[in-house]
Amino acid sequence: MFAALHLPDFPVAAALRSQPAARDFPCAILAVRGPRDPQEKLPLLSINQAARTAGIGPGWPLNRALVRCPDLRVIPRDLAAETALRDELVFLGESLTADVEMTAADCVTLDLSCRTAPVCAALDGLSLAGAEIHHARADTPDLANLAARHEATRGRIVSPADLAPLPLGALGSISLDSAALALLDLWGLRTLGDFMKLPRQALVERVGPEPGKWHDLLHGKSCRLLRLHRPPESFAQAFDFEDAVVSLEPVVFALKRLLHTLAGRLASRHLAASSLDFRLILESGCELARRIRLPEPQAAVEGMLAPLQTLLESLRPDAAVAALQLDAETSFATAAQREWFGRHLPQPERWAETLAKLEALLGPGRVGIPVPAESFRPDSFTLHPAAVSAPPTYPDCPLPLHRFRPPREIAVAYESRGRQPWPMALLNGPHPGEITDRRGPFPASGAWWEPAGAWQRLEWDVQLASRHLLRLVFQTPDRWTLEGIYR
Amino acid sequence: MASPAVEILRQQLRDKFPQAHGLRPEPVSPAPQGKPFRAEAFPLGAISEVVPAGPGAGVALLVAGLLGEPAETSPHPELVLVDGADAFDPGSFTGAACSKLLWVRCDSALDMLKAADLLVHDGNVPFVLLDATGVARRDLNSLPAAAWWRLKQTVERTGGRLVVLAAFPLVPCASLRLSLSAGLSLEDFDRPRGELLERLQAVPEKIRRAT
Repeated sequence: MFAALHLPDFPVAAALRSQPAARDFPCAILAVRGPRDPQEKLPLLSINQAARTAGIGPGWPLNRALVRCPDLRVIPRDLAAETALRDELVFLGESLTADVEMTAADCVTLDLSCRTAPVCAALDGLSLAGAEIHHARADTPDLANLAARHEATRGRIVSPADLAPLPLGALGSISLDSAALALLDLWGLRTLGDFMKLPRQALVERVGPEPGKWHDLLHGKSCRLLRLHRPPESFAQAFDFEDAVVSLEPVVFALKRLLHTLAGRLASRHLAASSLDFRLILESGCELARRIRLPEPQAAVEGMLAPLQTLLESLRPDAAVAALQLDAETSFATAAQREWFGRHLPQPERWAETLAKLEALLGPGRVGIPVPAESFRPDSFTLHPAAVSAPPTYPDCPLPLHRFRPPREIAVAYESRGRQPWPMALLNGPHPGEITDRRGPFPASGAWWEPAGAWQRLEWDVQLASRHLLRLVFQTPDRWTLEGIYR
Repeated sequence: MASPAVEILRQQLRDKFPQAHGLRPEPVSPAPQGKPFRAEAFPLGAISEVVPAGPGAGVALLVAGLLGEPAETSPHPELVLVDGADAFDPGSFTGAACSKLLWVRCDSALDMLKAADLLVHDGNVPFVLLDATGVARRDLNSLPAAAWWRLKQTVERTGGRLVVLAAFPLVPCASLRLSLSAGLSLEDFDRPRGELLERLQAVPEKIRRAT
């Protein structure tokens, strides 16, 4: 026996949990808006019962819905509230049985075959603050699912014959094949009973295999296995020092103990750690947290200890260490043979350790693969730990620039030509001298829509009498900087 | 008779680890003229140095030549740039070219040397480019000469390539020193990069050693 728990109008119900006063009013949530979609033509993603009573249906365009119901309130979707509500629904299901499937965002299916106690009263007693729960039971999970979604069949045990009066559109909740549904509608089928009377073989020959599966489902001939919901296992561990420690050795000793436990748990589950989350809690109350990505999933203590030890050597906590926390993100251990004729790093574990040592030497965010940003803002880029798919950017100058970071402020002799300054000579800085030739000005600006972040500048490429090639920048009102040199 | 693939593999191993095969490393010969932006222009297991012949010598073009203009993103870095003055500009290169590069941003000459030492010891990426052109001369002169000799021994052991870009001759134990010139001017901003790369000239300089 299977039971399905369904939350009707799930997005609206979740959003209204934080606005209980609005529940009595007709409310709706709009579908996601594309860049060119006018808001008034967006379809309604979900509506509440008050809106349904006013004669509105989901999928109506907003302008039509407002004509029918001028008091309709459009509320924003609250994804965090939906996640919380879904988790509460799963928790309720797990209170009845351990075998729970998250069938859809608004529905869970329970396998009651192992339950011995009566379930009818328990199902009727289920409740969630701010949301209604509808339930139904059947011999197959899909029948229970269908029944829970319709008023005529919810709250009881249903058989295939009980589903006959339901509209044909109910199949949309278990299948995405809208083309087959549209064809059946063209044929004049209106209810599930009409569909169930059709011969299965002829249906498959004319429409395809999918309606054949629906046919078996409605007749209760197919009973699939549930995809059981299992919460992700946490590998988090903590170690509290009796007395706060100031040296490294006790921390490394405690870390080894935690890693031995972690390695055992990983081995028993045939998993490996792909990244480690490491946190030091100091006596002052502060915390030092780092995440270490391992080049290859590791299950051995030595492979996990080396990068952690390198990290510890680089840390300079300003207070004694009171506690230590370790968590791991897991994946399957890789067991692939390396390619002989493809290029790869010879020793990825050693490479990861070298990168960790470089980070310890230079600081975070100083080592990585540069990716030019898709922006006109000068010197915009990101550093990535590994190669990522880079956007198709093309340098606008054949000569690469050697940047000065930060740009060097200098004094420039210039004359005004029109509304723009015309540089004549650099008066100070690393390369003073007369400008013998120049290209520009090249105006550039960006982020004009952000009052605080808007920028505007004039750039020149200049050649000095000493033959040095430099990039000079002017920013209003009177700021000259050297951006870099073309070596 | 071994198959051709095995013979090729044996030759590659012999070239990379001559000491293991009882071979003496070949004396460094002057780099072929005109192609200083190919990795093969620099000897394996040695420190090479590139100094500009004057302003606009095209030192940054050499980096562009080493990275090339690949069509696809590289899964692993093929070249490490230890940037002594944090002067590298990713905007001057395509995203695919930047994917071939691991950029190590240093703030001081000492950090630059320590980072180079870590990377040469590691050996996973056999081409390390150390850019000291933006570092102040005073800071570079304060580096102990013994550090360069230790680096040379490490490079010889790992068999990689370490190329130092400097504004003046800096490395006392360099096996090869190239003087780079391209005679760049403002007119060259309108020329394609490939044409400018062809103009790069590298002339080997005589290295005087203490006797």
